[in-house]
Amino acid sequence: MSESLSMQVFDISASALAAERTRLAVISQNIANAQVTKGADGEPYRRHKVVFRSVLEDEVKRRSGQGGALPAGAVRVDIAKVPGDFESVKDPSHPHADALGMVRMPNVNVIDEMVDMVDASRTYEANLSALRTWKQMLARTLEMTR
Amino acid sequence: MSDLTRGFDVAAKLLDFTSARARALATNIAHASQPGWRRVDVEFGALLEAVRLERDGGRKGALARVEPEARIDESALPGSNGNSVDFEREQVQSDKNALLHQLATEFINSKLNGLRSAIRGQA
Repeated sequence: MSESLSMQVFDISASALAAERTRLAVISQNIANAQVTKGADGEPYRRHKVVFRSVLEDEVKRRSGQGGALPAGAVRVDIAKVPGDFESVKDPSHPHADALGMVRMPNVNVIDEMVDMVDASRTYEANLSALRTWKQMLARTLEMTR
Repeated sequence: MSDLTRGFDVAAKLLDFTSARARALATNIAHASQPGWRRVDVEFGALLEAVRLERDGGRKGALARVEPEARIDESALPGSNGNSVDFEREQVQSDKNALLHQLATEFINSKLNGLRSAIRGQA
């Protein structure tokens, strides 16, 4: 991309802020659905997870000329469903219980989600601080021309 | 190069290096959640060597040719998920880098102010 280095650093930090925000949104969704035993597909809710990907140099070259592309070093996230078996608990009074009185629960562990949430929120702050440092450096550079 | 502008070239190169390093450190923080990411960093040794060659070795153009390069930091030990980014270090290095950037800008500033005074004929 022909964009200057100064703007690229902003884009890198901004891409990470967006990624961490997506991660927080997915965590909220997991916690909100932690007790959903039957979704639209008739199955219990399956935990979602964000997967990070770097924007690499060759990808930037391939897309050069197209507007809005992220610079190399930026991050992108995909949202994936986490495989694994659903845990069954005995609850015969539950409307979704099978003939044996077992209910299949979502594969969400709320404690794991909470830990992940703290991590995502701290990482968001760190990126914000990197952005602020860069902004100050640019401001000082601009002051040279006064 | 006259006395009034001496060191401009070094300060300008230093700004190139601090900018490149800020980018590397921002990239590391951006990848803090990505398993397997090895932290990258910009070494300033090449700049020092270029200044030495240009000043003492009389090798003209050594300083103009040196460019900052971001490399994987092999000395940083990766954690259990293969990621070697550590927030505290990135933060401290980032503050240090910003100070160095400020040093270069203030140096250029004071030189420019000196030139300005000279042009106006003020003491």
